[in-house]
Amino acid sequence: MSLRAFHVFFITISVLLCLGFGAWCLGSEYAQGKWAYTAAGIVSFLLGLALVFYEIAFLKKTKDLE
Amino acid sequence: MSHHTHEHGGHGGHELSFIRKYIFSTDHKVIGIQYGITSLVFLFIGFCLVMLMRWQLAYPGQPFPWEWVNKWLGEARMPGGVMAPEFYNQLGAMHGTIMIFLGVVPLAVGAFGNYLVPLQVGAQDMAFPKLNMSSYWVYLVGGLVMLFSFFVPGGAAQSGWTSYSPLANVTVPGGETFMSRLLTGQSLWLVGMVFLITSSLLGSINIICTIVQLRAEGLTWMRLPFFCWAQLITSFLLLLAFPPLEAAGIMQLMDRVAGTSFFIPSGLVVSGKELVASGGGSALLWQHLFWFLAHPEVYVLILPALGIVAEIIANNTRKPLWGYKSMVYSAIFLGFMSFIVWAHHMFLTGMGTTINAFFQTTTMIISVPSIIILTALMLSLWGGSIRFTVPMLFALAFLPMFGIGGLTGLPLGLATSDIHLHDTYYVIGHFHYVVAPGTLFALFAGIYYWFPKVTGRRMNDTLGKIHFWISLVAMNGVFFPMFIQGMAGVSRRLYDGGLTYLHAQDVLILNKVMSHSAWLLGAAQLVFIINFFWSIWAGKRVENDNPWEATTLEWATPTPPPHGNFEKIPVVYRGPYEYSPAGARRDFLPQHVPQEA
Amino acid sequence: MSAEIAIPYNDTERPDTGLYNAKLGVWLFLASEVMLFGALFSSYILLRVASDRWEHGADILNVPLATLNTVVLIASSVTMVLSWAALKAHNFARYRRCMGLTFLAGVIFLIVKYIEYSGKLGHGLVPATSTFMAIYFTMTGLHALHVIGGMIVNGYLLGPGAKMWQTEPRRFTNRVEVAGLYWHFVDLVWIFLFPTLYLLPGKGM
Repeated sequence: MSLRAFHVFFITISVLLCLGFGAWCLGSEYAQGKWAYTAAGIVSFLLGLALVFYEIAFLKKTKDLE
Repeated sequence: MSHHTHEHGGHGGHELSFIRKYIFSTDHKVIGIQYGITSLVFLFIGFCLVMLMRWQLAYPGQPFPWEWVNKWLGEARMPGGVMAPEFYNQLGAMHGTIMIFLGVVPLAVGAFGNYLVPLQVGAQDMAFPKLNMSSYWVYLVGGLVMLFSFFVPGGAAQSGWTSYSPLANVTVPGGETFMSRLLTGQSLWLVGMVFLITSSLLGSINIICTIVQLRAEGLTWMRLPFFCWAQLITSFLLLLAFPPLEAAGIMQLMDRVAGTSFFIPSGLVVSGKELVASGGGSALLWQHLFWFLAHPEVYVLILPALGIVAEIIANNTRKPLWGYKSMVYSAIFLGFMSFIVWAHHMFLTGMGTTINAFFQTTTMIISVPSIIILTALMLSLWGGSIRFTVPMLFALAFLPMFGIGGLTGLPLGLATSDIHLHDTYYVIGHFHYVVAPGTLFALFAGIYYWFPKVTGRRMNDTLGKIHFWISLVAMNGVFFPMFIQGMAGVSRRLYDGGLTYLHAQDVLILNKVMSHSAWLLGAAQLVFIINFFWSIWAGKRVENDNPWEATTLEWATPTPPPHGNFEKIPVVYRGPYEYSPAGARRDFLPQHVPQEA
Repeated sequence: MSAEIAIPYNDTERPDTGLYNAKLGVWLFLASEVMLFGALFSSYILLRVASDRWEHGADILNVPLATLNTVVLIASSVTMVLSWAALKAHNFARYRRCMGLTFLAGVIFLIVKYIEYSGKLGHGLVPATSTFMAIYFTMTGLHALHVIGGMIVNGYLLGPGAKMWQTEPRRFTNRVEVAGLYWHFVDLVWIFLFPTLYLLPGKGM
């Protein structure tokens, strides 16, 4: 597997982490109701979304990079 | 590195300094020889430890007769010449550790693998020569740490080569400070293991990459000598099985120096006092992680031996190996299966009958490929015109000895019969038959067989035969009585050899038989050592580059092979064992020769 | 270096395997690393299941700092892959910028880690406190050692090792790719460590 493929895999896992962490911030017993965690949760979801766009752009831009 | 003092040799060429050529060399052959010499020294040390133990087992409580040995070891270890129980335990633990991790594996993989794999695949060197060099030096540091541990307060590790927790956690814990806890036998054992694991990691990556990437043109997978297949699979086992032990080693080290409780259950009582620890750990976890390494390790010990024996049998029967392909597939299957049999070492830990049943089934399955390989080697003898050279004698003896070792393993693999045999001398007999007259005989065979390629001289035949016959008799004298003692129920780690146990009284006499056989075996090895060094300087010179008339690529090199190995990069035209081909003028067709001229 | 043997397939792929030597080597190494961290994660599971009390990471560990470190490592993987892409595009200046940023990310990660550790130790939370703290320090400590190892490699490729770009550009590009694969692996381990240690709820407390 090339670095390109591994990077794509890594970013996919990172997106999942962002979604999971966002859910934890908004939903877990520990973080629920604390405004800082609510904000962090929203930022985390947005970051996850941003990573998805980055991933698509990366795949397009590095097509000939193997 | 700080040595840029290049010497200029007499023949005008630009030569490497002595240090770069023989000490910090990146040449796989030099590294292989370094590995070989070092591991033979460690094998000898490990054997000396057990010869000392055997005195205590045969004559418990009597002073050791050689005064200078007692003096050298000191009052603490040998009070009044009688071995202290703690010292006995140290010898036992370190015998196993040194023999396996510093002796047999480095000799089989480090020495034979390093020296022969690049030659047999037609490469100029290993894929990563510098990593190869560091692999040897890391191994040496690990070995020295192990030896050093004998001289710290409390002596070397004494919880067996398996280092079971929580025993290994609480034995000689050291003082309050970090350093006093680190400088104890068991902690240094763990540090030493981390070095050895790193070394074998570097070595195994190198061997796999060399075989996959640097095979000569035409050397397809099914033309690869079985020796290379064995090394390839062994390397995969080393690569994947060792890291869990490294993890376990780190955790046990944390337990010993940082006061954690990974392997210490809550409420553990040691010498009548409850241990101060956070608790909540699992003693069984150590066993799982340990045996996840240590069972594949058994195949690390045996596969290279099978590889060596296969080469020698094909060469000395002058016919192709019988069932080469099924041997290869069996070895691959064996490697895979070896990862899912580990808990058959743990039937008595109360894992439950369901888990026992699973591991007992996989254990029975893994015996099938081993038997296929052994059977194929046996059938290879059929109809051959066998040359009884010294390497062939060792290779032939390997077959029944490994057979005994393997078959006596089956009752241990069945949970029911294992209840009786577990932790008795039967177990010791079983795995020593696999490793001592099994693997070590194969390694001896390999040394006699490839010695002419490495040095340009043959080892002496007569001395070799003396070495072989005495070793064969003595090996069986040492290990066969262990089965009898084990079935009588004699436990494996008894300091007095069973003297104070009623059920052992009938088989006590065997302790003397075994001990005297062990010392005879030691004497036979002196013959080998003399032969080895004498032959380096004064052995009969080989008449050509291929004295055994073999087919594989290592014999296509000059003798000894120069830096870069081959005069011209070889091309491979056929399989590895084209002996006695129909219609050919000679009875062998080397892999690199286009057609018979 | 006289009498150096030219090992083939250091800069180009071997046709039948499609790999150059170092790429196969690093993937084998990573397979071994998977087994190392796999054993530790398995130990985590076994110890947790067998235990009747287990701390909730968020209660005693610093989630904001760990989150910051997560972002730093994800960003560093981006700069790492960009530095390799820069070499592929023969833009050495951009390579140096991206690799420098990757190295810097490693430094930030370690500083944050240091703040985190000293906070724990200052509050008397040491490995001997509980099995949870023991496995926390063992796993994150081993991971931090891997980060340091990666930084040594990256620092070498940024400094003295970069000379190879002049002599053997293809081989140098391969080295950066291999370093990148290792760096991505180290980042990936953190991606698993973070939720496991910091976010999972405890039990019996």
